[in-house]
Amino acid sequence: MAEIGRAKRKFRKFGSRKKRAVPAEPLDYKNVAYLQSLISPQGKMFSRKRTAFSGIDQKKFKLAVKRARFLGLLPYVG
Amino acid sequence: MQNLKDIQPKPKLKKYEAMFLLDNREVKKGWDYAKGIPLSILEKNGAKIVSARRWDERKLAYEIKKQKRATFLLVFFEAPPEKISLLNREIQLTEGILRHLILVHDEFPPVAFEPVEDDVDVSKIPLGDEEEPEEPQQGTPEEGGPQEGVEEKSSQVPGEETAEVETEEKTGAGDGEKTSPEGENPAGGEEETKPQEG
Repeated sequence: MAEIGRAKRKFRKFGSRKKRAVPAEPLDYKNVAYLQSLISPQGKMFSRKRTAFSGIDQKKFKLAVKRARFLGLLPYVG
Repeated sequence: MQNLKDIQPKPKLKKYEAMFLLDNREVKKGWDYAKGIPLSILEKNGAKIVSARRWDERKLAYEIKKQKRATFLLVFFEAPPEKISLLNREIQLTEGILRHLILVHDEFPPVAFEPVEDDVDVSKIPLGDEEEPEEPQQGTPEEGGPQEGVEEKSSQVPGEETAEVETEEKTGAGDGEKTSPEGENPAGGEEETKPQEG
C-alpha cells in the first residue's frame, strides 16, 4: 500500500546542520579591518562555507567589499 | 482663491551618505579649501549638509588618477533625488576629487550627529604622487648582530686560551718554553686591534 502524505527525505539538505554565524562587527565598507579578516591575502572574498554567514549577511558582506574596492580601501587583486 | 496649478509641491528630500576621495595636493593648500570643493557643489544643487568630517588619510590599495594616497571626506546630506545624477556628473568633472560614492539611507547613522573635529594638520599629510621612503632594510640590524657575536667570540677566545695555557702550565711542571706562547698571544691581540683603531 502506498504511503499517505509527504515522503520522508532520505538525505539531509546540504548545509542544514551547520550553525550560522552572526557578523562580529557591522558589515560596512568603512569597516576595512573587519572586511580584511574576511578576505584572503589575494583579496578574494571567503565563501559562505567559510564565513558561515546567512544569505542576507553574505550579500551585505559582498556589497561592502565591492564598495571598499571601488574606493581603493581594498585591492581588486592582492 | 489660489489655483492648484500654481502650488508647487515641496521638494522631497532623501538622506544620503557620500564619501569623497580628495587629492592630497588640494588638501595641502588648506583643509577648509579642500573640504569646500565637494561641499560647494552639493550646496549649489540644493543639498542640506548635516555633517562633513575627515574620515581618514591613507594609502590606497591601487592608484587612482596616478595618486597613491588620498584623504577621505565623509558627508551626510539631504537632497532631492532628481539632483543626484547632476551631482554625480558635476563631481566627476571636478579636479581635486579623485573618486566619490553616494549612498541612500533611510535614517542617518549616529555617526552623522557626532561632533566634527576639524583640526587637521595639513603639513603632515604626504603627497599622493610621491614615492614613499623605503623602510630601513632589515639587513643592517642583522649585520650588527653578528658583529656583536664576533666580539663576544673574540672576548671568549683569549679566556679559553688562557685557561688552556694554565692547564698546560700545570701539566708542564715549570717548562719555560711552553710559557712563551702565553706572552705572544696578548701581544698578537694588541697588534690586531691597533690597525682597527687607526
